[in-house]
Amino acid sequence: MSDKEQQVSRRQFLNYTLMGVGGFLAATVATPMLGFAIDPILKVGGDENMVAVGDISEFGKEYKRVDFKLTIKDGWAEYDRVYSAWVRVLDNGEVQALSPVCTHLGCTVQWSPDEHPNQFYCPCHDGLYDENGINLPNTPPTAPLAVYQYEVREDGKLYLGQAISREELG
Amino acid sequence: MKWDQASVETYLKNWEVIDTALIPVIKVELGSQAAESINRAAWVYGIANQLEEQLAGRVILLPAIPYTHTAEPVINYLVSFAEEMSQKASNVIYLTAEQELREKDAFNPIKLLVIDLAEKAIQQPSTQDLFDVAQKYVPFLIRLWQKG
Ligand code: FES
Repeated sequence: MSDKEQQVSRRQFLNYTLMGVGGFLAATVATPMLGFAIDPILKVGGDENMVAVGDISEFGKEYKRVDFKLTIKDGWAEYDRVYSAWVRVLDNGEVQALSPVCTHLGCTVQWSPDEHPNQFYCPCHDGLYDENGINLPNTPPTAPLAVYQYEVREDGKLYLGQAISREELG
Repeated sequence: MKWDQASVETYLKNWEVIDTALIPVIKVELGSQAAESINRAAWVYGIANQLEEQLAGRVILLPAIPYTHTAEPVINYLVSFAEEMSQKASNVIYLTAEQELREKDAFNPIKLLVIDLAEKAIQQPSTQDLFDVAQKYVPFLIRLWQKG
């Protein structure tokens, strides 16, 4: 093999090596980005994250609190979180599933008809909402309680997903 | 509210109504006792986090205070720390799993929530366990606020 041939092949070798390393780095960076772009289970609220909270027949006109666990996938981290909802079924069959997270600063609101008839009460700064979760004037909350996505499936169970603010619901 | 950068803006705007400081107190034991000590700490941190999540608008969860072996010095420290904190937070609550602190606290006015872990401490807490235990302490805090 001549010197020239040897030089070329060394250059080629370097090129291949660098392309390989560069390609590997690009793939390392691009793969998670692709994951964020296309993987629906990275977001709470996909079908995978609808959770059965009980048989629909267990719910009536009075609000009942349900606590349920969702697995949150946040980037690469995965953890369980317990959520709560106040759920009732109206006469026309409509389900109301309200988030108990106060829209003032995030405390958990309570439904206790003896102390606050027909109202949700936030014990942190005396916030009040009406029975549909609409914030009452002259109390600290500035927006209604968020509403859970729900489905009543063929198995007769009520499934809850992500809580959505009324603003987003439109 | 959490003691972190994501919450600081909200805290600064509302600190006057976030008047309850919640502080875990953790007994740290190195060496052969470490496993149990770590497990107990996981329960205390976990319950503190759950309480903060339930009452985020009025509770600020502060970093934990560690101590080791003798309870006396830490009680003295907790008393003076609470005094200083109370200038900006009218309720200062310590959360611990160490019964010995309650015994030593007999003559001191600090607000100490002692979690009775009993045999629970040998198992890793699940999110559900932590949530369930935290629920028992929520009414304590609400009553405290109602008393004013
Ligand atoms: S957090 Fe509910 S009224 Fe302030």
